[in-house]
Amino acid sequence: MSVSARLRIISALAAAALLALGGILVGTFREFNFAKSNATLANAISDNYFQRAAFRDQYFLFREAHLRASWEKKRRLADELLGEATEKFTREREKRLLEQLRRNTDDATQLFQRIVQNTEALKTPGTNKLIHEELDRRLYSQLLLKATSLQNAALALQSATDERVEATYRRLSITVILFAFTLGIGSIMLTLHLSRLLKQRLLPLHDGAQMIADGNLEYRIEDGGADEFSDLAHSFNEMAIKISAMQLDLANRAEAAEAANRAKSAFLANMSHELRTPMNGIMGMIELATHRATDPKQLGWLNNSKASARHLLSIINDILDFSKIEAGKFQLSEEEMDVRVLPFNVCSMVAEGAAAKGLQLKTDVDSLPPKLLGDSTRLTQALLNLVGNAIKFTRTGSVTIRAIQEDEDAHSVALRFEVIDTGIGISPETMGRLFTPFEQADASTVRCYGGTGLGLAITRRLAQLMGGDAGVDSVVGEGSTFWFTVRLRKVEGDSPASMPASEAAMAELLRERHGGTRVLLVEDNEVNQMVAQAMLEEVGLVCDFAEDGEIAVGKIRDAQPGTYALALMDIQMPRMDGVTATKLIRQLESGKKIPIVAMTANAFNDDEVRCLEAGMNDFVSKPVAPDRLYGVLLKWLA
Amino acid sequence: MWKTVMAIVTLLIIAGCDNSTPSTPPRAATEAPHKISVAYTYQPQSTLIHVAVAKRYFADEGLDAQLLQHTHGKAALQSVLDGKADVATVAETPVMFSILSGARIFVLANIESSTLNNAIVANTDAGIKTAEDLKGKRIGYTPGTTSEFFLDSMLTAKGLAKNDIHAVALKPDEMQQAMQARQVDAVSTWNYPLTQIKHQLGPSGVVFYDRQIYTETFNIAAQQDFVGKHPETVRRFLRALIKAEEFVEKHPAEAQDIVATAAGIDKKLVQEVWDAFNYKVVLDQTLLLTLEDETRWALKNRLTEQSDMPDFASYVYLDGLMAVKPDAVLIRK
Repeated sequence: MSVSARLRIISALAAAALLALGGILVGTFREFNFAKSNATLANAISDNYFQRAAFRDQYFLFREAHLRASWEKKRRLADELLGEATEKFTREREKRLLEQLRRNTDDATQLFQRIVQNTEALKTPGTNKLIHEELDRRLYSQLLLKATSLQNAALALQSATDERVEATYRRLSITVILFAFTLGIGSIMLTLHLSRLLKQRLLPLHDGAQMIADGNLEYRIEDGGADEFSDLAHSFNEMAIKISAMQLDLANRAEAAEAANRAKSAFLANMSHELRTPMNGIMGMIELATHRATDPKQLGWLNNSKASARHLLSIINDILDFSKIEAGKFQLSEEEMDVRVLPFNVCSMVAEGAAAKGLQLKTDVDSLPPKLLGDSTRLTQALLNLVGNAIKFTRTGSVTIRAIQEDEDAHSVALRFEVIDTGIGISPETMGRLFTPFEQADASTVRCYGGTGLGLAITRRLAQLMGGDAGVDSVVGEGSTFWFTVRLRKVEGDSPASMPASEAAMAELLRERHGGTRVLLVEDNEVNQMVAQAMLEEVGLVCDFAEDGEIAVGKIRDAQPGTYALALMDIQMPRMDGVTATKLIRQLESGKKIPIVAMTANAFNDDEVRCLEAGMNDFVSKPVAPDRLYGVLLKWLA
Repeated sequence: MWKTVMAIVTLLIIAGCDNSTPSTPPRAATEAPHKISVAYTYQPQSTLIHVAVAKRYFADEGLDAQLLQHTHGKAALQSVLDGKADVATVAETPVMFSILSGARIFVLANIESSTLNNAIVANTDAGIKTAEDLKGKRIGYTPGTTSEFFLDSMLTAKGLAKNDIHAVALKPDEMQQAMQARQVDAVSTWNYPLTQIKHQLGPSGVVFYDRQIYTETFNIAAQQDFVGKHPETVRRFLRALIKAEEFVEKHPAEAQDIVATAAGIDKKLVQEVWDAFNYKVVLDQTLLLTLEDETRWALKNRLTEQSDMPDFASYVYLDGLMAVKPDAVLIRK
């Protein structure tokens, strides 16, 4: 039976019991009131008798007319009281006593009247006084007899009605007690029943729900009942089944998403490699041609080619960077750096373009800590994006690069970089879209200025990765202030010796310290071979070639120990890739100590990790920047 | 749990209804019966004795009752005074005379009262039409009984003195014969002779009642010595009479049959006089008042050698009835 039905039945039974008892209570109370009014009436009858007795005795003593009148008045009242009592008294005993009272009252009345008559007769002259006096005495004696009976009957009636009051009062008390008792017992039983019900039925539900909440989705709440708790248990079980199915579905989806992500990463890695490899070749060839060209006309063409290649490379880099960031594959390096020089470096990078447009370049650098830990390349990139845009969109006036320290705590410093231009300004509605990927101020911008529309989005993402954000404040017609903030860690303890910063200085150092040193270049692509060779020979190093991993392993195995001071290792190669080759080299006696630097277009961190795990010492991504390559060479040749 | 609840409810109800019922003390089956000899009359005043005998209430109370039937109460009392019986049924007048003459008796209970049992039945052929016509007539009466007291009261009520008539002393069983033989013109008597004489006179008979001048009581009397020695017997005897009272009230027709059979009286006669009697086992003030009233009369008419009013209350034994039916004891000593 359902709990609500059970509660309804219990309530109905309790209500019926209380109603019945209430009815009895009301009935008993009415009976009590009735008995009380009867007792009052009996009391009045008794009182009336005693008052009459008093007047009767006084009359017998004094024979005065007013005493007789008073007696008669009381007698009439007695008739009224007895009449009222006849209507109200219903019990046999009471009726019998009433009848006795009425009969005795009648007898007493007649006797009293005879006494009165005899008294009058005594006053008549010639009456036999002795006989009348004897009669008077005799009548009075009989009157007293009747009075005794009358008194007894009146008292008996009073006692009978009192008993009835007492009895009804006792019944009333018992009913009240029973009423309270029933109410009490009913409440206790209801409470016990409910508590037992809750204990028996709710506890398994609670335990079951707890089990399901704890992840035991196979658990099923056992319930054989047919009430609301069973419904609830059934619902819990259904819920567990559905959650279980949803969890399985989610796991499948997550796996699918993971697989898609892996595919995307692989695609990105491939794209990176496929795009950068030819770019490396193009730029390297142009670089070589520039070095050999003497004809100014050819030199001009080569420089134009170089600029185009660089532009293309920057676009590729932007797309790949953004993809990496979005794929969550982007990782910042943390190395000691001097943020103070950052604005100046950027200035030098764009100085040519600014000068070409007749724009004034200014720097405003706050007093900043000389040494901080951060990714200078990415900071430069972020700032360069803003400065490049400013120069691009400013026709006249100036572009100011400002670096401010915003905040500082024990371990880090918050920096704010601002690029203030005197350009066309940006409307508020456009500002909202500016940092959205692939958005520009308007469609015409692309036609006028070109670009991917990724620069600002990358800057913002980079700033966010460095614990800050990016934004713009602008007034149309007055110019704009693009800014980004970052939080960089302070350098704690001793820092490693700093490297020379410029490519020329590093090249010079290499030439001085490692001129004539032999390096093994493992590279399958001929163009890249040429590029790398040119860079190495530029700094006085001697270059040996291996076209794939297998050849490289052979060369190192066959060579005298110390023949090669370092190996530059491409990763993707036919026959044997760089990772496998490195592992084999490391097994050779002659290859155990040789520094191996990966040089690959696979520019993701995963690749770097894979290379390092295979036993390589460092990692240079393609297209190879000479300063990066020289820095690595300086580090490992030493 | 229900059993506990029901038990508590039952206990509560029992506690609330503590009406203990008086009950007869258990009697050992082997206990020897209490002997008692009862001197009673065949008159209607002794109805409760007749019923108690017929319904075996005495035996039920463990009494071995020996019955001595008399013509009237004075004779029954005499047999108690003579030591022939233990208890007697008797009207208050013989009791009063006995006490005045020094008898050590107790009245145990009043078993009947009536204002219509005593009357004067007269022969109209003797020139008696009204009560006043009794003057100068020969009127029979039984001295020392209610017959004498009633005659005196009746005469007084009619303004006559005893010397205004010719009073003729007769035994109760002589009255019918005396009337028939015209030895008397009227008699002051009680039932059954009263109604029998009236029937015998036929159209010549006239009966003078006065309900307001006299109230007869019939009582149980015993020697004080007997009561002192056998209080338990007295209680059992009274208890049997109370049972008879209840029976008479509930079954009057059956009681009339019993009385007719026991007294050898025609049932019609029994029924004719039945309503004149009030059969209740009580001890109330009526008895004392009547005894005192009659004593004053006896003293005034020099019917006794005593000159002082005795303390009649000391001749009433209350303990017996009080033990058996306290509600019936209405005497305030």
